[in-house]
Amino acid sequence: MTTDTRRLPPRKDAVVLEREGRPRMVVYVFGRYVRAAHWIRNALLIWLVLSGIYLGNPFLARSLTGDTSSTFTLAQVRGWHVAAGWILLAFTIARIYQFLFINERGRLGLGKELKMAPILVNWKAWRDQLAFYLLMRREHPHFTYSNYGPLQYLVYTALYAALLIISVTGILIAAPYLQSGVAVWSAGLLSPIETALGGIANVRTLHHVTMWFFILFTLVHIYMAVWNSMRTGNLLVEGIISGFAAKDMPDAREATDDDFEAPGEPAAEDTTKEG
Amino acid sequence: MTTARRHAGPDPTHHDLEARTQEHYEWLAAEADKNLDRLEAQDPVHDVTLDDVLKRRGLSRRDFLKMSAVMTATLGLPPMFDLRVARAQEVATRLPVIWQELQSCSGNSMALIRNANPGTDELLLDLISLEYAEILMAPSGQAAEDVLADAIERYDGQYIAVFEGSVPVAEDGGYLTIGPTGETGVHKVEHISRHAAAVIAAGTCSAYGGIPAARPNPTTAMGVADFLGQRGIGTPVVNLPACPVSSTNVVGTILEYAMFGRLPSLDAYGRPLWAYQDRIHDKCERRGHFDAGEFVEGWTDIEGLKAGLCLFKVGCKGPMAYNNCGVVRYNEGASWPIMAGHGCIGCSEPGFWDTLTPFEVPLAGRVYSTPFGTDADADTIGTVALGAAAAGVAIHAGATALKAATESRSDAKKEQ
Ligand code: SF4
Repeated sequence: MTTDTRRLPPRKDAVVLEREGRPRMVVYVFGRYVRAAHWIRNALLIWLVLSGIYLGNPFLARSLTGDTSSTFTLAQVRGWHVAAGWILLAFTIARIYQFLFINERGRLGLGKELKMAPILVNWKAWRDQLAFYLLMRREHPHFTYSNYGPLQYLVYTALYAALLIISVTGILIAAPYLQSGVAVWSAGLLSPIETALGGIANVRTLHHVTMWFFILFTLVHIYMAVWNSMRTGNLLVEGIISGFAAKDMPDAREATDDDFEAPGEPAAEDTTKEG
Repeated sequence: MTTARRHAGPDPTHHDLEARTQEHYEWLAAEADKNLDRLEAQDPVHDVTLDDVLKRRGLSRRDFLKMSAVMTATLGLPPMFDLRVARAQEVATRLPVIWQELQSCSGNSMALIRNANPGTDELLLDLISLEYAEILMAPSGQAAEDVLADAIERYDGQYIAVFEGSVPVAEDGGYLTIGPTGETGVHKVEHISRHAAAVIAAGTCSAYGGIPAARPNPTTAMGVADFLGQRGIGTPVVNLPACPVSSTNVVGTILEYAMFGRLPSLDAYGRPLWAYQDRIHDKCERRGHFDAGEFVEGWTDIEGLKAGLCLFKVGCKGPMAYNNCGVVRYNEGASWPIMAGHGCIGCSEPGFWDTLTPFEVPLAGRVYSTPFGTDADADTIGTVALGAAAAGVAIHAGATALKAATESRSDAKKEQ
């Protein structure tokens, strides 16, 4: 892995640009893994939503698919839906592990992002962030100990909760279609959840309803990223492709840990300041 | 109650499994022999013998043994139990049964007695000592009540109580009164269950409340097991849901009881695993079409209906329902709903009337009542929410553009 470079002087390498009438430094914020994970999961979610809608209500009529007695269309779609679900779950587990256990130095410990949780009950931060989104203040609020605003923190936590819910319900739905394997085995462990929900029908309903959380999240996420990028000139949308985004000059405010973050660190996966 | 065992853990090796299964069956057989001996030593409670019944039905001993073998397979037992099942039927004459109607349509009784070709199921009905069953018995009014009181007293702690219908508990049980004294259903269930050796809840209403318990459940109807749990009555209950319950499942459960002296192992919803561990969908003759994506597209798709394609798109709930209908079928194996051309409605699932309706669209089309007074399915609600979010986005974007314009104007002024 990379050496610990975070005590280098603040971003000598940064290119200073004039954005929105202010000098900003353009720095590398999203590492390779973060960007790859973002787009892979994006593709997975698109496939999962489309194939999931088909599995819930197979819209391809016989007149479209022709003779499927040898291709087994639905079984194929189901297989690839489940496969994509497992990959998404792997990303989700890795991300939750990072959230809980990877500390500031990129080592095992109490998660750096977990320690940001107090932002959720920081009423001043809530006021500042909401005022910013409601156009009542012009400057993006800066949260000293958190990469995320409170709204953002809440929504991302909900996103991971939703990912877990849709994965668990997905495993319970998939298991009866399989003879053996990890889905069958884990569904055995998870079956009390099915019972508590009142049967497989409610498990399916929950799986279906949770899908809509992701659809709504996607719309709001894209809008907020674009909006932030334009409003504050922070190049966030470009950043998730190139890795580079604009930041305030360190001297414009008190320097924080953020300014020392060097590429290669397991940076917060999504340090966009939207919510 | 044991928990659901539909999803087995990691498989032991094949060899282990075989040896252990054999061992288990031998143990079971010994159990059965012990229990059958005990029952045989008892005096029959009524003077019908197997031979009488067979003669009346025009069946030979050979026919009877064949039927027993079929029943053994249905119970998930190996051939070494064939003769034990036959014996269990003979000694069933020593098993007193009380059949009590509750808030029900009597459809389960009807299904039991209305079979076209009498077979094992009806045979057992003749054999068991049905002490009390409103639908079938001659006495009525006070005479019937006397029979019941007498049976409860005589076979205290030995009889099997079968309930049909839900228990309405609202208004102190006032929604259901039975008999010349207007006794409430609540009181009847309490009294009969307390003195029973075991309780069978026949049909979905008595298992889970069924249709009377569908929202808004005006009578606060509930299943017998839930009701007994609430009243702290510990008599073991086995649920045999379905609408109506197949006679095979009732008879099989009674036979299991006669054979082993205890109720079968149950899933998480109190249903015997031998009958309810497999999904309708996994034992369905149309399943190949499902995996191929070949569906009956609607009730006007005559071609699809004739070809026997999968009924998922016309609302089959087989993927959400557990029962053995596809294997034992109804009316002496003549047919079952999916074979007849209508999707499964999942009638043996708890709360099916609320969770699996509407019956003729896939589960994804489940309808919710919304605060706006209209009902809608999840996708409609989601689409409306998406539209609302898009409108919110558009308004926010417009407001931001306006704000940015005023900001840059005031910036320009400041610079001057
Ligand atoms: S008809 Fe119903 S139970 Fe049979 S395969 Fe189709 S969906 Fe499954």
